[in-house]
Amino acid sequence: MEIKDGPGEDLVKEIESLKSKCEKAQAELKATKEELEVQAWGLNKTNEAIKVLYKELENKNRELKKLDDMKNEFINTVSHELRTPLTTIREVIAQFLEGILGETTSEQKEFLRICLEDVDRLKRLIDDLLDTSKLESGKFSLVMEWVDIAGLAKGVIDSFSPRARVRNLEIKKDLPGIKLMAYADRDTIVRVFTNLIANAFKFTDTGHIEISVADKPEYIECFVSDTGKGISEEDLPKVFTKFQQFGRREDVKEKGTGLGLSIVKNIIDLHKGKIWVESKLNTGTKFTFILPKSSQG
Amino acid sequence: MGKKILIVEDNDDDLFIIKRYLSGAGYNEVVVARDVKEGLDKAEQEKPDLVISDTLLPDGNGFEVCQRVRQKHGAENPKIIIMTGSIDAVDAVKARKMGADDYCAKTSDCGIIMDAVKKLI
Ligand SMILES: Nc1ncnc2c1ncn2[C@@H]1O[C@H](COP(=O)(O)OP(=O)(O)OP(=O)(O)O)[C@@H](O)[C@H]1O
Ligand SMILES: [Mg+2]
Repeated sequence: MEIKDGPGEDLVKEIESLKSKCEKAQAELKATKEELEVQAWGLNKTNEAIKVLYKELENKNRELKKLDDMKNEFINTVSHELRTPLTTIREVIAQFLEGILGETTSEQKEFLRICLEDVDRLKRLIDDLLDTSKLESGKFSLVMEWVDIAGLAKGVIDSFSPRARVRNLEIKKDLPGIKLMAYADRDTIVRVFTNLIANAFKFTDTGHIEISVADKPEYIECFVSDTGKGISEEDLPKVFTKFQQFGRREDVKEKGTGLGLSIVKNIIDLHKGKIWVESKLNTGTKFTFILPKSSQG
Repeated sequence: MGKKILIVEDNDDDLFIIKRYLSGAGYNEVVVARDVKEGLDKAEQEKPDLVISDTLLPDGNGFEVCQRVRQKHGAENPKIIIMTGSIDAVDAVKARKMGADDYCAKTSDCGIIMDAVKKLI
């Protein structure tokens, strides 16, 4: 009998080849697994570090916030302490001027009037600082009521007419003949108009200042524009940042501190409104703001 | 403790902080190198137990330091930590493949690095 070993040999060969394939696959698998392990290790390291760094940032942030609070607290206290004696000084000067405290010569009166102006300027500055610190610490609370914005604007404009006469500048007003009601904080909106119009006067030598209040479906749109020295394109993005002032200061008679517009912006923000500015150097500036009629809406 | 540490770092501020925390933890034998070349020389002469290298160095990078120390001194010793100011998963993997024992982010209190040091030596 002949034993055919052909098929048997084939089988062995096949098994051998399968075995080597299997070993190769296993080695590849092992390499892949190792590679994956290294990758996972790397990711894990990165993750842990990010967590630690995040904590560190959070702590730094908290420290900064605390410092900021301390600064605001400090400004608050100092401003209050400054305001009280200032009120007394103002009252005494005013009484001298009115002759309540005895006779004064016209020359003395002139000096007293200068004192009074300076005291008022100082008071305005302190109020601005106080408001800024309140606005920044979120302690500024609005007293909301229904306010006729058109009437309010007219009142502010009228208070500027003596100044317009002295400066020989025309005030144009575009107000609707009817009341325009918005749910707002009266005093702060007066502040907005006052600051914007005061700026227009401060930075305009010739031409006119225009104030407009207009009715829109959802909101009231107002603008204050002037034909003054304008703001350069470069400075324009910084106008609402506190303490920013541009251009040569010598040619401005009434110096300020650069707080006015930052306060205006904060007030408009609190009312959920918007404010923006357009300007061209040596041509003029226009500040426009919109106030929602009802900030809940 | 008697363990010697080689720091390869070119930034004075970072170096100052790390040295302070190391000595605070009782590691007083610290050698410093300011670039790759000096790092490799000192690894040879000083026979440190641990090398801590920054990633970015004036004449190269920490991965190079790691690779060449391993080529010369073997896979086990010295221990190697790569530290970085800008963590990156790709860099972490690279460090591992070059034979680093750990890859650590620099933090203001060196916490991650100090943990790694204590674990390794
Ligand atoms: N109408 C304007 N025309 C030209 N420049 C302006 C006008 N309004 C504001 N600016 C520029 O923006 C700067 C910031 O204005 P802001 O009202 O905040 O400060 P200020 O008027 O200088 O001081 P403050 O209002 O605190 O008394 C001004 O100093 C001025 O350079
Ligand atoms: Mg102003």
